[in-house]
Amino acid sequence: MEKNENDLIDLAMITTCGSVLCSLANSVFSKNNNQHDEIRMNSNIDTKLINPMLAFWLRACMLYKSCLEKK
Amino acid sequence: MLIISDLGQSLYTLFGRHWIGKTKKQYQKMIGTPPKKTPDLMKLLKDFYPKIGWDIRNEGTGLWDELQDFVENVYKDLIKHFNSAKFIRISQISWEDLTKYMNIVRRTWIWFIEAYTNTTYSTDNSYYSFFLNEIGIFS
Repeated sequence: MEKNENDLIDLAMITTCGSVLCSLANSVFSKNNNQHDEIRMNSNIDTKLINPMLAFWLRACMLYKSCLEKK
Repeated sequence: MLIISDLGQSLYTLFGRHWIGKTKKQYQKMIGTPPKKTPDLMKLLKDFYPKIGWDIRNEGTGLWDELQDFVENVYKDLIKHFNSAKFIRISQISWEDLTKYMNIVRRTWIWFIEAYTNTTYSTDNSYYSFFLNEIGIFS
């Protein structure tokens, strides 16, 4: 039971982080219209430069990796 | 469900934004008036992008067929248009299936970045930082 609870907490945290990231990225995107025609990707994760589409991919990766580690 | 939802959303947002932000103007210049409403993702990739020189169907590794199967039969059917009757089918998605979907979306992103930046996938190029095997997900 405790393990399941921890799993749920982990999942909730990851999902929340992903949602915050998406919201932040969307916010940055809408305020800087000139960013939309340039895909900005950098090895250093800088939330100001991450666009919304990449945020979805990253959240999928985080969730997948979390499941992979628990397998 | 969350993972598949994010995978589908990433592609819809990527191509939707790209179409509105840049490609539509290019289409207008090269072909003619684009549709007022942004077409669905697969229609964009099948009927509109090839006319401006981006044809994922010629990618050569069968990505188009796999992407079509993922988008139509998994993302749209099971997740986007979810209802309780589909729950059993969703619960039967295996870990191998999920890994396959991750790879299909990853390869589609790489195809997009290669076309967009006129580069080739390389571990040294920071454009591909979030799509490397080295991030520990793909092998």
